Amino acid sequence: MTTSTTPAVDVTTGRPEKTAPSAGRRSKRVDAITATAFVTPALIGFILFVIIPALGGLALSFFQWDLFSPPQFVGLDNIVRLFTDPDMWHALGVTALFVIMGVIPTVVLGFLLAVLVNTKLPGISVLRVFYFAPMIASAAVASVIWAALYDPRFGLVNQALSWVGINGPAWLSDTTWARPALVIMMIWGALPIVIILYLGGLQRVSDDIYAAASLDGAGAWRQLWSMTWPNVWPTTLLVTVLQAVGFVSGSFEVSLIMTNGGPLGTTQSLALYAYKVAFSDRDIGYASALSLFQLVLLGAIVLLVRLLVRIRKAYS
Amino acid sequence: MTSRTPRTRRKWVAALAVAAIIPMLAACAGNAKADGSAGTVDGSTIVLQTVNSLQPQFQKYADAYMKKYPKRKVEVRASTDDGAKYAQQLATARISGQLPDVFFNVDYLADTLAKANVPLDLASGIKDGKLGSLRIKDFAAPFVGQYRPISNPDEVTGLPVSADSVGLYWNKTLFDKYGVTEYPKADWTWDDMLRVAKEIQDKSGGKVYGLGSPLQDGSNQLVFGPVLRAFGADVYNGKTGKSDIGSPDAIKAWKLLISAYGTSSNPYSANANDPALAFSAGNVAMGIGSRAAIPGTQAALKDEWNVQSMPTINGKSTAGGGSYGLSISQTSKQQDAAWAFLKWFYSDAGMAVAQKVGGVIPPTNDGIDNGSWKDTGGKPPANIAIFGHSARTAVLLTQMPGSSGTVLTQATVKATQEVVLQHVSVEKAFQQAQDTVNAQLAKDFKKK
Amino acid sequence: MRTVLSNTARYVGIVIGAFVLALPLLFMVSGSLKSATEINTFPPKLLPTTPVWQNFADAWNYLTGGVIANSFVFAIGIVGLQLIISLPAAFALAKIPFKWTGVIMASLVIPMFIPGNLTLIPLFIVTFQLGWLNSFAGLIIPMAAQCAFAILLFRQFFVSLPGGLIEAARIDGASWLRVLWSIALPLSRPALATFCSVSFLTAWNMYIWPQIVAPDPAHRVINVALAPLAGGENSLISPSVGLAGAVIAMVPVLIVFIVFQKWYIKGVAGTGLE
Repeated sequence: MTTSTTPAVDVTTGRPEKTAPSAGRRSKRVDAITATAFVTPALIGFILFVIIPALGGLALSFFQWDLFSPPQFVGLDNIVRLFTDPDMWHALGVTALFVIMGVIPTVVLGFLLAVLVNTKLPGISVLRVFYFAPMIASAAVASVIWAALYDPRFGLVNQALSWVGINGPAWLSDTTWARPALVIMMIWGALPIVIILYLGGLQRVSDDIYAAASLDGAGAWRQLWSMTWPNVWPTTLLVTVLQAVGFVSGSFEVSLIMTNGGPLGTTQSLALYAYKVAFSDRDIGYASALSLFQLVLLGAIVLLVRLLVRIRKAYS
Repeated sequence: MTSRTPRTRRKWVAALAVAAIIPMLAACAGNAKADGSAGTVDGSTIVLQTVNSLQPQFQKYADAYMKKYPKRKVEVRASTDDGAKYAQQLATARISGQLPDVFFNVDYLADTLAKANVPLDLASGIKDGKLGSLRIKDFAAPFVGQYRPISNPDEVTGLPVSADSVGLYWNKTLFDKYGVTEYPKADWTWDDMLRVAKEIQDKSGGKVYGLGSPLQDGSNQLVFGPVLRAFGADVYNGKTGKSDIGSPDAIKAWKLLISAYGTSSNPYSANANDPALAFSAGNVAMGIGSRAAIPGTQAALKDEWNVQSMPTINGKSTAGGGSYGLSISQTSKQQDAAWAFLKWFYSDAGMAVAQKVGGVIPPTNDGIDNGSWKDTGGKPPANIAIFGHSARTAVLLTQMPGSSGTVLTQATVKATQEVVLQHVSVEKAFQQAQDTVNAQLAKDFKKK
Repeated sequence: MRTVLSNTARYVGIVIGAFVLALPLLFMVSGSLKSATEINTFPPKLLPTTPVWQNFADAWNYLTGGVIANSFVFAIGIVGLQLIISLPAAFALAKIPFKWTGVIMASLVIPMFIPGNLTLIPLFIVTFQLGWLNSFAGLIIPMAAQCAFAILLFRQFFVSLPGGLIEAARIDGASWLRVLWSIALPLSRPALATFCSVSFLTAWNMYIWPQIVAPDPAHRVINVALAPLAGGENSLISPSVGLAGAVIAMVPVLIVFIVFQKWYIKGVAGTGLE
């Protein structure tokens, strides 16, 4: 499926249209040479900066290396350490919490907001810009803004809480609240893309079903959950996968900038842990093993989701 | 689609890539050590790297040098104030062969940087007269000692720029605003300081903090080192090769330090350099800070302020001390030009500029006693002379071998957070911290 | 009557939602104009009493023009290099009969969904081995090589171009390069606009890659310079100056976003292409 407005192509089997000028063998050779020349730069880049890093990362997992002295082959030591390292398990748990705490509200809120702005009321295109704006703030920009918002005394967040009589926590210095604080900030940054994707999904839902529902006298709220929500299910699935990956990657960036994994490791995700092992401890081998483990896990989860969907489809 | 051929191809690519990577890794054993003399001086451009908070004064030093020697250029670059990240950047620059020629070094990172092969040993060059008649013995021994690698004490990897110590900064405007007339005195004890801080904090209704938290995020060794010492405990005992930050004496010190959070000082903040908690922001009535913070405070704080000697504990001074220094990098291709800059900087002419624009206390015996740094030109702090006395008596930051210094910082931050945020007992948290540090020390000693 | 009412309610809802989502950005603008003491006042104020434009001068001095120039070199370098690499490749994959098309497409797509932040360490090692740390080559080339998105986007567009036009040109003896340059490209403006805006924004907003590969001051980009102000690594810079820096960092992307909005959103929605 696709949510883009340009026509979708099944890339795994997609073949170019035959334009085949009928000039025979010579032209075929010219075609082959030109095509090779055209794809070579991309392939070199791909091999050098995608394939080699992947294989190199795999190879390095079996070495101990500090970037200075020659690497030493250590066999499975790094892999064994991986499974016996309490910091790794803790970081893995933190990563899972980031994803769970982040993805569900992002998807639900994104869906509701998309339904809200999916209208042709005058002026809507201008108003929608505000919905999309958080998307263009980089992690660094967002962190500067939210660090100020979360300031225990001078920040707007605790100020707003004090209006309703709540004494707000010292967000980023608090073992309970640091993680939710980062999650809230990441939800803010992730909502625009979710809204955009849902808008695409909603526009493909036929108006006829609503007309039918209105005749039935279904309430707006019931209509939303019993008709709209199931109809955008493919979008929901896509958004969920994209956001799960997005929160794994995004939490790394913001916790590196704002809390450096603290306090007491409550915001130290697996990616950040690998980063620290690589660049603070300069233990490249173990860091490679950690990165690899994370990719394998992520891949396994994505495959699992696809499998579940296929099973669901088969039985429905 | 011919599926057989590509698959075999892919296998080949994979095999080739693996084969290519292993020798690449092996080939990457560190670069050759530069010999210490290279390049010409006139017509040269050297890169001088410092940290953000010192960038303004370093730019002025460079300007003064270029004015004196118009054929030489110094390009000042500034980088993060976070020590661990600063060291990490220099290590990256080292492996990429892109080190600055001259760089800011600091006592607590000196051993780490030396281990990463970043700084050049200056001792032999100084003996050969690269700094003219200046010799290492002209520097105040404790300060230059901070740049001797623990595993190789004959080497000197950096020269101290300033003999710095810690004092109590206080904001008279805020004292007066909340009607507190008991100003800091030279004979104050820590109890006096915490009591008055609490009074201000209470009278302001929490608008102003009485004191910037002495421990900061738990990493402020410049403060906890001397306090532990006053109670009879050592952060690191060079003789036993162990840390006793978990001993009963140390526990007393930690309890006192931690008691400040939220009552006499700001509540715990995990952000060690929070600008809202800086003394120079004008929201805290008192702050414990190093002499090096004077120029920044002069520039930022419009209130009336002054400095006082650190209060005592059991009659003992709690002034910590340390220095930042300049080093030449091992891989610099302009080492002669780098030496020439250092020669000027540590000469009377250079030190005069440093005292005037940076307020540094020359780390030489003569400089501490007779330097022009005491003359602030009528600007605060009026009581600046206290830093001369405390430079002599200060408890200097303890140098620890290898990475155990970094482990110590992580351990004290962790223990502080456990106590403040998770209500673990001080005893338990800091005994655990002590165990962590001692385990690392044992590891570091074994390596040698 | 009922629709008018519900439309009004909906309008109010939309406006409230817009305000809440934009609030942090409005706060950024307001805070960037507060004085150092005003941003640290309790209770905080929503708007500055008198705008302090000096904050922007201070932020500029801290960030420096050189850092901003580096960011442009970095972002434009990535966009440019990706265009050079991906346009011919996409064209070949779409229009030139060639037996490897399927294999190349398949191998490009697989790693596309792995976020770059998770493959940093091995990529760093390769860049290190090439001797590219602290250089523009190290900043730009490894990131530009991650151009699967560009190739897929352009290919999809080229596939939809009418075959007749190209065939005619080929029969007239035009080379494939000529066909790409004079026929395909002029028709591809929407795809180019989409790609350039998405790629520029992504590159401009990158943080971790430039932070690990080129942290030295000579190659530092704006997000690397700005990030320490959020983690409090610089106690001399007041939060209001930090917010002014954030505004400065956002201006180029804001301009690109506003000008290219239609195409940009199309491109972002295209991440759904599966």
